[in-house]
Amino acid sequence: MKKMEIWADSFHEGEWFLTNLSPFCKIQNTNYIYGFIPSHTLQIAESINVNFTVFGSYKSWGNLPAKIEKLLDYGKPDIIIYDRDSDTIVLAIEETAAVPTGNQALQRCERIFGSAYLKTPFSYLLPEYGIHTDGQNRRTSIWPTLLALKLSIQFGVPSVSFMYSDSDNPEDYHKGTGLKSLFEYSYLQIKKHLNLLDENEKNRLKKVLSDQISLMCTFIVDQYANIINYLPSVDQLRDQNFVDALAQKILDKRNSGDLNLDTFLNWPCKKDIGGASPLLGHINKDSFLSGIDTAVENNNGYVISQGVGSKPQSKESIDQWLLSQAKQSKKINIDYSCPVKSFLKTENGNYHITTSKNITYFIDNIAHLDTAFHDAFPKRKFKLSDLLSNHKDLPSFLYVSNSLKPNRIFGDPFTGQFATFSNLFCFTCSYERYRSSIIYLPYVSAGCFYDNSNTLVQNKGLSIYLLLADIIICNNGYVISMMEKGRLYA
Amino acid sequence: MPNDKIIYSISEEIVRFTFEVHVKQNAPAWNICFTNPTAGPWKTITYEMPDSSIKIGRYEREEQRPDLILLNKTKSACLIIEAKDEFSKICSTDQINKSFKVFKKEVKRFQSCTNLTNYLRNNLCFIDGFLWYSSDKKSADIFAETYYKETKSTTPLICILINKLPDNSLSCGGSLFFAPKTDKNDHIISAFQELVLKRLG
Repeated sequence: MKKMEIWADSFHEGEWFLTNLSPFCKIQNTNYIYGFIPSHTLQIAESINVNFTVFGSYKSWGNLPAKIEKLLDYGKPDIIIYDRDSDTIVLAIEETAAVPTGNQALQRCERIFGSAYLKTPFSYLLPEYGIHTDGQNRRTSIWPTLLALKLSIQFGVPSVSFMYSDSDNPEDYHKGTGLKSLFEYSYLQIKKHLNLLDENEKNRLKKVLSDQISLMCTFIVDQYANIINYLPSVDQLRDQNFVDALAQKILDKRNSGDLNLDTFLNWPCKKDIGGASPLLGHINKDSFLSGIDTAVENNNGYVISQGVGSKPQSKESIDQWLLSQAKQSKKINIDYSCPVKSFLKTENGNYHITTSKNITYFIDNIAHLDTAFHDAFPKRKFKLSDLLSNHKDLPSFLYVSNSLKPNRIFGDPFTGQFATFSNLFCFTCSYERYRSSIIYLPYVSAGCFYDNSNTLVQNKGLSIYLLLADIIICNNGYVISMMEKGRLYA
Repeated sequence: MPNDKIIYSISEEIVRFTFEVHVKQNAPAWNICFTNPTAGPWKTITYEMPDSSIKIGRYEREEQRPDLILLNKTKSACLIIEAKDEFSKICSTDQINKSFKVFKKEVKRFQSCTNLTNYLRNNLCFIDGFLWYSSDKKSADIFAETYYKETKSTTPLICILINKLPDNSLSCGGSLFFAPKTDKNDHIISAFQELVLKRLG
């Protein structure tokens, strides 16, 4: 009997997956190896049974396949379907019950990116509508779906969002088409991998996938104006003929004749879109970001966000985190400097740590970043443009994180946020860079990036930064080059 | 993959799930109303019946929660469990006090749940439960003594130990304790027996 493995964050998620496959293939029997490892036999086709063993909690197993271990470097998907005989990951799945809004929307996106980068088909099951912590009904963000769409084109493997619930039934798995479509798609993908699809099923798989891509495009067009004030290629996304051709390309892994994707979903330069770009302002003033704001005010760049919140922190926490950051600087013999003289106090006695309310900037020319950098950090005797090698003539994307707690920058939501933005804003549909990618971390010491033996730390955040960032500007203007695998410029 | 190629190390997830499988296979009188797997989306407390279900509650995003809640409707008994992969993690003063606080919160939830029948709500007996991996059967006695000394609880206590057998399979054993100076309750003893746990010691 053919054997396959389900790897999951927990046994329940693995069993949940198999239970939801049961409308498509009957569960023949279930037992528990060693009294706890679920082993389900499913009749997947006429007279053909497949045994699925569920391995819950990735860290517990000595038989974790190397391919899955590599995938986990970019974050842990909830469920991974694996065939040991062919050493193939058939599908990775992420599912969430919480409606992804604000930062949370991007929290899992490094997994979406990592899977596509490693040529692994990925599915994301998420609620279209849900109840936010403020008790209000919210519609989900466009970012995971937009990223999935672009990745599907870039890497030639389907990365698909499946949405469930509706505005009257937020967070309800059983409303909307997402849940049923995901499991029909998963069932057909498993059968495809096992060469068991008949002609009807082959056509059905194409239909399910193309319908889903069409739904993704419709959702993006319908929802983007609530999230950002500019989306490129929106007319193409509205054109059903274009969307059908796009789905065909993703399905067949080859360029469909006259489908030109050279500039599809590329964010243009300011000079090419015109119009005023409203800045959101700042809470705590930062010298470097003031220079960037000046560049935007002078029409040398733009922003697309529509609101960034602030999460004030207690004085005790801030003092403790600043002390830890200073220790990280001391570890590699550099100076730590608080970039604002004093944090703005809130009515209840906490302090804002947010600098600019914009976390993404598009700057037409690196020269404007050079000027802002020189003015803010006069002690640094190098130019950012000199560190960008063959990317220095490209326009720039600047990502800002006001993270203060040491090492948070390597975790959620920042890595997912950066993976999404850098991929969408800096890479074409052929995964060629069209914009340099720069990170600014006003509070983070460069020392956080190195261990005690002065080598780069290893974690999912760094895996993402090494792939998608060019340079990282840390506290006090120290710069780490990701292009040069962690070289520090002081 | 042949079973002998499966290599595992004990984690909290494995400990908790082993007990869940034991309950489902051996203790049909007990219903698992809530489980708290790693990174799982499960946040509702529900009593599932063959054709319907009773919603008992729902956890807020950051709310402290136990690892398992089990209900034995026939015996009007509710077992609330904290699970860890090793004894040292469960038998610390901090953990005991944290769990005790969570248990008290859950008792209030059940006692005020209008979806339960008046009879069940007013007669439900609560049992504090702790679940860990250990081959040392004495650890249950040590824990019970520490627990009652630390919390001054008057609630019955069930300690469940997961143990690895020579063939690499895991088994569940357990002991029932009553608080010092409280009477043993036949109803609770009977509910404990329906968990079909191997006797410790």
